[in-house]
Amino acid sequence: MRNDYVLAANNIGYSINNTKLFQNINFEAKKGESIHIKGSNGSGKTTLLRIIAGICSSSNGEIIIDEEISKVMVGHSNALKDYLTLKENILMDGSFDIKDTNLFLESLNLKNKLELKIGNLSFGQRKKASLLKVFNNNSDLIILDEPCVGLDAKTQSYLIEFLKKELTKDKTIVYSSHIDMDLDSIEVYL
Amino acid sequence: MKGLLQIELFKLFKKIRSWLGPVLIFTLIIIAYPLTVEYSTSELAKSFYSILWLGALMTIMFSTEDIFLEDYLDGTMDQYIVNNISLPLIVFIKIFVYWLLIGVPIGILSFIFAIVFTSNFESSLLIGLISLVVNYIYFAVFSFGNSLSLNKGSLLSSLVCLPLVLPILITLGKFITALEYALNFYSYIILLLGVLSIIITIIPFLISFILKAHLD
Repeated sequence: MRNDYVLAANNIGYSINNTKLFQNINFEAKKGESIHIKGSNGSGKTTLLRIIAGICSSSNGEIIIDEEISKVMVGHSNALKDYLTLKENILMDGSFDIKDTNLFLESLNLKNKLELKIGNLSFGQRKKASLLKVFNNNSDLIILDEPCVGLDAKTQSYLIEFLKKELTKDKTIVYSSHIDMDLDSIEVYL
Repeated sequence: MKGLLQIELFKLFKKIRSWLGPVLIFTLIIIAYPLTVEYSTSELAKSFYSILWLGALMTIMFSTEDIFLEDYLDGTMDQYIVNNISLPLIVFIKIFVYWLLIGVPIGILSFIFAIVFTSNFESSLLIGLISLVVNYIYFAVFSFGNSLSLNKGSLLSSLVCLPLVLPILITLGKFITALEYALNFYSYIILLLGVLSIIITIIPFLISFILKAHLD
């Protein structure tokens, strides 16, 4: 990996019970670049993102990530507690800036849902709540697994505009999406 | 670490059924026991300890069933790894919090029930303290069992772990005999403390290794 790269995948492969899910995946990403991982259902997009995030290991190859960078990931599991209110879920994450969080809550139309338990929110509202991690985070590497699923058109546009701004701040974004997010990304096919 | 401890404590405290339920079940077992047998007071005191240890054992076995499952299923465990939070530390904190909210009340109740059944304050106090130590060992062992079969039904693994706690039960039996006959019981206390120190050190690493394998 060259010095100016944040993330590099060298011949990444993943097998389940000797069945190859994907193999020989190669890509590199610099600061301010985004990688769009594409593929059909079950092609291994989520698995590849989990490998990049360090949650699971690849069967072959290696992921090289700049050790100094911080990561944030939002995937299909939203890491929200159903039995806690939205406010309690937010407060549990100590990294949240209260002023910024209020701004995002208003933009995402969640401000009046703060006292509701996550279990009582709709799928879309839960997705918005989980995306607060991304909106209110200063990580260098943003990993998103189907971030637009369940979001209304307005929130999708809001998210895409936010991510575009993050790219201008030299953040690196790796995402999978069946919706074209117009981020001028490097495309990786599985 | 303080922040993680507060979060885990808050999470478990909010799940009232998960910690109050086991404590109430334990209380019910101990209260219901003398109602089901026709013992004299002295016979009741003799068999009380067996019910006490077994009640705590079964209560803790069932209370640890979802100790890691929830975080595993809702993606919280993924977030720990993404944020480079030490898994052994999280495991240690989780076991400690469960012990604090379930194990400690059971220990206090054990002391209270021991006074009621035996009318001996000093031995009751010892029973309460030993109960605190043994409860932590139970929590650690059953958490280990539940981590082994995380998404395949934790109960089966808990039953597999039962043989691991049998030596503890035997030691407790010997301790009670020594206590009743005024023999030297300190060796049993030291033995239990030794087991506790080994378990506190090793179990978080073992469990975190197993959890990482599940995530893979």
